[in-house]
Amino acid sequence: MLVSCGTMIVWTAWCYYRVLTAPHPTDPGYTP
Amino acid sequence: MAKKKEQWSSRLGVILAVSGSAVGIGNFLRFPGNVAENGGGAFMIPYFCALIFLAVPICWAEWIMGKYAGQHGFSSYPAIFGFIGRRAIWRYLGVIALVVPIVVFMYYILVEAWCLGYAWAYLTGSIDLGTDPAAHSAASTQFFKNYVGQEKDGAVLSGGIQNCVWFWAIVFVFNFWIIYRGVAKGIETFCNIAMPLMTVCGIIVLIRVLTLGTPDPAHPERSVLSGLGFMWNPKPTAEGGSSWAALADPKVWLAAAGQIFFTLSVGFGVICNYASYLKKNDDVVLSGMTATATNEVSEVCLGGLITIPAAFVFLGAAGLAASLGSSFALGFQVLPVVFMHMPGGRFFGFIWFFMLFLAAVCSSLSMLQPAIAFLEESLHIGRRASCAILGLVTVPGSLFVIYFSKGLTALGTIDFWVGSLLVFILATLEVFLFAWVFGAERGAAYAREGAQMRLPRSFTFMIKYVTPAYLLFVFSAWAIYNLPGEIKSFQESNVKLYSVLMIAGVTVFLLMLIGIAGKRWAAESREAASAGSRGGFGGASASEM
Repeated sequence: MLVSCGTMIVWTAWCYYRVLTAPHPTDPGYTP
Repeated sequence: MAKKKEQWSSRLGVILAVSGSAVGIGNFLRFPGNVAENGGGAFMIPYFCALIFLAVPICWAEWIMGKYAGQHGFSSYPAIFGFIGRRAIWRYLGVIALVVPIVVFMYYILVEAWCLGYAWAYLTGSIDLGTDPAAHSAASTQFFKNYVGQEKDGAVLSGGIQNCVWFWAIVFVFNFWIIYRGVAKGIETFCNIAMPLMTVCGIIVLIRVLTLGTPDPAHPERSVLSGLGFMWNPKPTAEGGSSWAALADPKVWLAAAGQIFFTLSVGFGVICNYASYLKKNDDVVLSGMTATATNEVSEVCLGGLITIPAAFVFLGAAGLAASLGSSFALGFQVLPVVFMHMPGGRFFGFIWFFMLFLAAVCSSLSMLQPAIAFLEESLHIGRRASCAILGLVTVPGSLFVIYFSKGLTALGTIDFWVGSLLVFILATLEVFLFAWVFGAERGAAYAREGAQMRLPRSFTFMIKYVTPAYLLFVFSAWAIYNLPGEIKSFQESNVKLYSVLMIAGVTVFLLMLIGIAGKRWAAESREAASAGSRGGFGGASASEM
């Protein structure tokens, strides 16, 4: 249970962190 | 295309809309029952395998194809399939991607109405299970049977229109009102509010469940920790086996793959349509991954920690055993008994069913939008006319499910043929179309445009070989275990035959519309392909359309 829930929480948090902080292609100086 | 194409207004908006499409009643009722019934913690290994080898690659393929076709002006599945597949046959195969959401909507809207009806009943205190605790389970079961008319066909339409039909009408109008407002103003705005609200509701109920302790001193073994252990500890699926014996049972692998399909809306005819409204520079790799993760966290951490532990604490393992195989029994018959015993149960019952209602609306909206997009593209009509036509198709279909309520036979039959069989077929077609017709390498290259996360190098190998092999295994196992029994059961009930005829009727109607639209789409595809070839990703050969 701890492994499953922990994995999902960390995975989701990482995804949202990336979504909210990653540079967008329309940002100045964006490099893929 | 002359008409201005709709688009999502924000990155987060499309992620919440796609996750909203995936998060549904199955997350909170079907998943916990599946885990408890199929080996407990051992179930999570096939579950994670299905997630990694099936769901994530297919989701990415759907996102990529959807965005690619959307950039060329196509949003409906038949048009997307025809454009990418370069053959008229693909347009007609795209009908499956319309039949699945439209027909599933016909019964899903009814379940959505039950959720709202139960939430209302808790808010107004009209659920009365009597004063005898020993009779609560029987009273709850009877309440549900009466509410949905499970004992007789037409029960909820005879003797005056019953409560659940009024709620059905309300949620029907509500869904169409949101859809009528459009992709950004309707679906995105609703999901931006509903998804966070649903999470808050889920966390409130979760905290209540995890702090229940051991509420009944007469049963010290019924604690929250024991409830969590009942659900999550690895256990054999048959007597005498080892704790991990479930891993050797093909039915467990089938149940895990089925759960992943059901929960992530893979092969539901939704994601390509939603992805077609992305902008040119929008990312698909991280967005697809985030939508999948959002669904998974709600399923594993909310669905997995609330339903079964709460029911175990008040009813024990014996009280739960009979309902594990049925989401409806667990959600609408067992949980009301749990809320009856729980301190503050009326409040938490309302929060729970309201959360299910929000989850269901986000999902049902995603079933309507692909059909609206199809009607707009095929007939070149506006949103108002598309909503009217879709209403004319779905109202009779939904009334059919409401009328044939005895034993929920119509609902179960439609779910089997459309919600299981056609979903497998559609997912298989999508994988073949993406990996072998469009080209997995070409798709991966397209996905890298605007990507905010690196697409794994193994993706192309996975989608070409591993995912199809996995799909074949799952489909074969499903056909061997489930198909003969369902076909045999046709002799028992005419309603099953009527249900299949209804599905066939909807399919023929949609095929006729695809035929009407075909010539126009072929011309537009030629135009888009010639423009696309100049841009580097054109694929549709004009001569082949």
